[in-house]
Amino acid sequence: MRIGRLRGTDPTWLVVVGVAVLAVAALASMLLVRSTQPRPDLSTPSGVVTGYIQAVQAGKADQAWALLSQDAVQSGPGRVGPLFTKDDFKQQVEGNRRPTASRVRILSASQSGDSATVHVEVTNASGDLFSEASAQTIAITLKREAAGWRITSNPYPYQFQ
Amino acid sequence: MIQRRLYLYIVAAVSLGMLLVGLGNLGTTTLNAVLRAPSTGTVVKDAIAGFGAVTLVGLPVWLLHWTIAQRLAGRHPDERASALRRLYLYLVLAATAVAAAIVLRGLLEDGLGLLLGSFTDGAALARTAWVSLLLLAFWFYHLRVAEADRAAVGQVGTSATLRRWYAYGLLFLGLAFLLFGARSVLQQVLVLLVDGRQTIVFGGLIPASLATMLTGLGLWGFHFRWTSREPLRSDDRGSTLRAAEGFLVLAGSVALTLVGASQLLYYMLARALGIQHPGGVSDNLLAALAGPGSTVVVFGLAWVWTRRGLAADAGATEAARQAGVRRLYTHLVALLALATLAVGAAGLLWTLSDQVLNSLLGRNVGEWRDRASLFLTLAVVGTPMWLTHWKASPEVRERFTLSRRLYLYAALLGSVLALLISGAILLYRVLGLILSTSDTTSGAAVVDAGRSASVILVAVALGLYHWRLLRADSAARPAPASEPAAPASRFTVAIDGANEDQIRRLLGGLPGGATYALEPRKN
Repeated sequence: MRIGRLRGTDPTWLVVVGVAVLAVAALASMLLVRSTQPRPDLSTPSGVVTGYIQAVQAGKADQAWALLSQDAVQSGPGRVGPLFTKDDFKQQVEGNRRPTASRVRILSASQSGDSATVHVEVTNASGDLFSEASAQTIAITLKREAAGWRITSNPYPYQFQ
Repeated sequence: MIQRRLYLYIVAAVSLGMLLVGLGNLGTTTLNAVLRAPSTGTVVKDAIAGFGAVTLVGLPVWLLHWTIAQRLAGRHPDERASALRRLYLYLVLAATAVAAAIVLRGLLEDGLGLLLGSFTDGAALARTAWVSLLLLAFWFYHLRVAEADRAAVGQVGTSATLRRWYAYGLLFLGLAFLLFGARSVLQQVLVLLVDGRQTIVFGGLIPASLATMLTGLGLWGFHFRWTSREPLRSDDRGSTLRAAEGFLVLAGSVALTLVGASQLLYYMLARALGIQHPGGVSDNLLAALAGPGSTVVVFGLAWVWTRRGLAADAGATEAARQAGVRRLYTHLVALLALATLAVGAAGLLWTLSDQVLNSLLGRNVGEWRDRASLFLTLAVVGTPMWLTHWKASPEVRERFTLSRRLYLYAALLGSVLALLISGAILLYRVLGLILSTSDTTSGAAVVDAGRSASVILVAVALGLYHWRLLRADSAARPAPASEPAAPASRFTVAIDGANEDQIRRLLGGLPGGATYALEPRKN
């Protein structure tokens, strides 16, 4: 486009075009990345964490529950606070679903023998009108059981919803 | 007259509020009943009874009072042009526009979430759509009435000011939605591009950000075009509210661009110096840069855009109060930039002094690269900002303004306070060394003295510079114009219908030195 023609353009249309490009880029990048994402590999600690969080956000309580170690939900020495029955867990997963769910990224995964730690970054829209987001890092611990890797740390589902 | 107007428009406003609340909730309750299980029947009946009552009272009362107000406005132009009527109209317009923007944003977020699979509540979507339609319908109707009034009887003085408060308030809100939304969308896109494989769930961040951006575009776009059309464009060009809105946007854009640029530079410098997690960010530096990078791009563009708009306004005719707002903005940015530059320079010297003195004293040197990156960034960002906004010797009409004096005294005050505090610490440490007090054996006193000296150096340099400018301004200030010489003219005034006492009382207000003679005229 010649500069002269650009100068004659209504400036509001430049903003409209910019917003349209940004909106298309956002939708395209989201769809593109989602279509190329592999299914979570449940034989690895990262895969188990991915499967757990995806199940929580999709409201699939049974699938998420199956990835928790019994250590995470039963009382034991040194453990305090309320623990879950499967029904409690199901109620939390299905009852707390929010329209603006969190975005979750895996930051790192480390393994030592039969235990592992996966760090995830959970980004929430703060709920204000200006879409300000706040991020926090959560460390999820796992241990290797007969059925494979299972989550042993705090299983409260609301932190990923 | 005024009492009747007050009564009519207060009742119309209250009953309109009742009508909107009633209609909105009746619609959402009905939609709930239609789209959800019939087990909520009792609740639906309660809600219909309550909101039905509010609607049935609000609707006739509003219709009656608004019809009377419209009839009076049609018959009497002064009624139609009254400030009270405009206040009612623009208050209703502002309230319905803000409420509609908030609800529409929710509607867009839910709609996009439904398309992208992060939201599944179709009934909630229908409820939000109903409330949006209702608010938009009432907003549009009142806008038409306000426009018809303006076309019929014009709009000057208080009425025009009320319209500007509405227009520029909504313009500002819309722009805030647009910019913050666009910043968030760009950040989400960049994170997906550089770290998409690590993102295990997308959540609703992209729909929420897109909804904010698109709502802002609608709100800002409408009011921008509305105020850009004649005759509003010519009416508003010299308005203080228009300039204040522009400079508020400019100040916000400049501040956010600077914060973003500082973060960007700091992360890059610190990583270049070998710091793995500057400011606690994760391993993926590109993902960490997405936030500040988006801020710089979006608010930097807003900065350029707003500056161009303000320059165009000022180029046509810059009114005195508009020029005052511009100067206030320029000096405020210069002061903030100076503070950033001073903290950066003092921090760099502080870090350097720590390194040198700790090495000389054989003490643990500690980590310096993270701090050096941060302070270097502040100095690098603050210096060009200060240089572009500060003029040491501007033209005469800019030189003796209140905002410049405020800037100079604030800079001097900051320097002197920093000098006082750091000077006291330096003296305390030097005296401690001379007197060999208990806390001087470890070498910490020498390091502390070095830190204080760093702050003193910067404070003295900036304090001296601004003090000299204050003196130069005082010397260059033109002498106040001398009193105009008393006119040598003589006047003859003929007064009828007043007695001598009354005339003498009236003439008692003449300046000292003036004389008069009263001679009764004989008919």
